[in-house]
Amino acid sequence: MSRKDEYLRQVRRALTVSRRQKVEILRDLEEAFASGREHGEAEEQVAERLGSPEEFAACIQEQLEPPGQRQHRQRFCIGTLLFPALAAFALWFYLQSLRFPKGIIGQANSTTTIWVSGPAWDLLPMILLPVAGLAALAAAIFFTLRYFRKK
Amino acid sequence: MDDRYIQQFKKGSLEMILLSLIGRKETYGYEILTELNQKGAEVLGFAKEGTVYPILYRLQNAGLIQCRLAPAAANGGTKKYYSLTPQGRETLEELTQFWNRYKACVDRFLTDWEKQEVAL
Repeated sequence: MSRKDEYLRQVRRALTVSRRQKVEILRDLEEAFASGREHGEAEEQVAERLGSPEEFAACIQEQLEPPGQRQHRQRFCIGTLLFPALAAFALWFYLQSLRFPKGIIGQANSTTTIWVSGPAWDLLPMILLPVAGLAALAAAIFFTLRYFRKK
Repeated sequence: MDDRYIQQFKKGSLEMILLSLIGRKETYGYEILTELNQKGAEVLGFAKEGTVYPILYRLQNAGLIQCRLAPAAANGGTKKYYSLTPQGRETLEELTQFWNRYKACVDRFLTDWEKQEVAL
């Protein structure tokens, strides 16, 4: 991996700005290295001028976002994911309790013959809700972990 | 001397300086940095990409400058060329007028103080 690619990779990892902004910053960095080469600068020289990838990313970030905003954004993100996850689970448990009153089929030990007729649309929320809930919960856990790792 | 005061001056003026550099002709990142460092490094300190890029992003978001990507044969990639928008030009004119008044005003205070120092 060239010095430039390595530098870009580290900056990409250090930046926590929006995806669009990240793409723009990395493109501009790419141009900085290319322009340096055009003017006879080695990649090593350009990298040295830019400062460490972490410093570069921090400098950009600091100027783009006023302090406090980033933390606020992360907290908002965790909140918006955790809430639907909990709501979906609660709804699912509630529906479960409505749908299967205890002992409706009886404690049959032998095979029973139950025919389901018509499309089972009413079963759909039973399947979708836990799936959506699990997905949202997984996302919430992921972002929470990332948030604490970044801190 | 307290570095913070100097930093504040630099921060405030860099936007105006960048607007004036871009206002003179369409230009790109490396050229902006080179010119900044040739003419201003002594006073402003050595300009780096990490300082200049975010200001360019901000000016662009504010609609004061625009950019276009053009293939650059010399470096095998693309170059982003910046130019002023009509709004940017207007803002730069206003800022220049304000700066001149600002300079005169601050000077008046400082000269008064200097005069008194000499008299004492």
